[in-house]
Amino acid sequence: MGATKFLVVDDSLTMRRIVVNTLKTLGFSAIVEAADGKDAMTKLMSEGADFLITDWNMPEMNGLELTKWVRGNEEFAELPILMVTTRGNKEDVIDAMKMRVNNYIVKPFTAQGLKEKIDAILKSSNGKPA
Amino acid sequence: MSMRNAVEALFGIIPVLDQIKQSIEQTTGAIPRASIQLNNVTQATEMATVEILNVLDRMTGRIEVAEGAIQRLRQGPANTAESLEAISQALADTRQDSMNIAMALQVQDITSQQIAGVSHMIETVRSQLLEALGQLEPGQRSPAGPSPGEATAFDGNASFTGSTERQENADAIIKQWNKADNE
Repeated sequence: MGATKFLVVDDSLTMRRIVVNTLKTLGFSAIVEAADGKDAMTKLMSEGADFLITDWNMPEMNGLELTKWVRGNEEFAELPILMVTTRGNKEDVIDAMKMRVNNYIVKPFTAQGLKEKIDAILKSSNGKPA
Repeated sequence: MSMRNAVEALFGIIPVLDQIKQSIEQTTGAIPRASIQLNNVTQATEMATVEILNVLDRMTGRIEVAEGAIQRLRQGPANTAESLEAISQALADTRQDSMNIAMALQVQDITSQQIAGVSHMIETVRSQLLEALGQLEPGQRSPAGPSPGEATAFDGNASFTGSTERQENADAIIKQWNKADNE
């Protein structure tokens, strides 16, 4: 479990720090950060990742566009994706599911909430997209 | 200027004045929304601050418990196990509390999105007013200038709340989605 490599994507430095610190507390040490979707694409292609945690609202390329790119990319199509966002409307969740994110967390979240979502995705059938 | 020319000029001004009136009405409507949004920022920061202060109060109490246990250890070997357990528990609880403080700091991201929403609203109002002014004095219109919020992506409806309702709703939708997908 601790060997899982995470890519944490958020344009807010504060949020990246919070997610990264929570992951470290949960026992994960392999973590890469990106400030937006384009940055994430570059990091994915150069460094790879086993698990993507992404914000939705970001400049350059948002989380939904990033998810679409990931799912359309043969190499990363099965990458587990957890969307972490302030957007909590029904339509937003449905849009994210249509893009085949694995799960969805509404900010502000708790450490326990993040842990449960990550555990559920990792335990699901090979983390296959929903 | 003949009377006829004067009347024609007046008729030409009326639609311009109408458009200016509409612009002012639209921009006036945006002000209360901006005010509500800024009030949300105040409420969110206050909620997070109170949450952090509550956690700090609990941490202070735990430090006192740990200090008492250390004092007992210094006095002699009696109750060593009990004292060590108290210290261990205080440390574990403090670790959890430090996580809770970090979580409350999500308010920074949420309020920055709310403020970006207000900034966008102000920029829209400014553009509309410039447009209206431009109709009065076509040659005198100031350039719109760069928008401070142009490079920012934000959720204007972002909110900081202690309620789990939005997450529960999202979970219910995902559950339904996955169920339908498996059938």
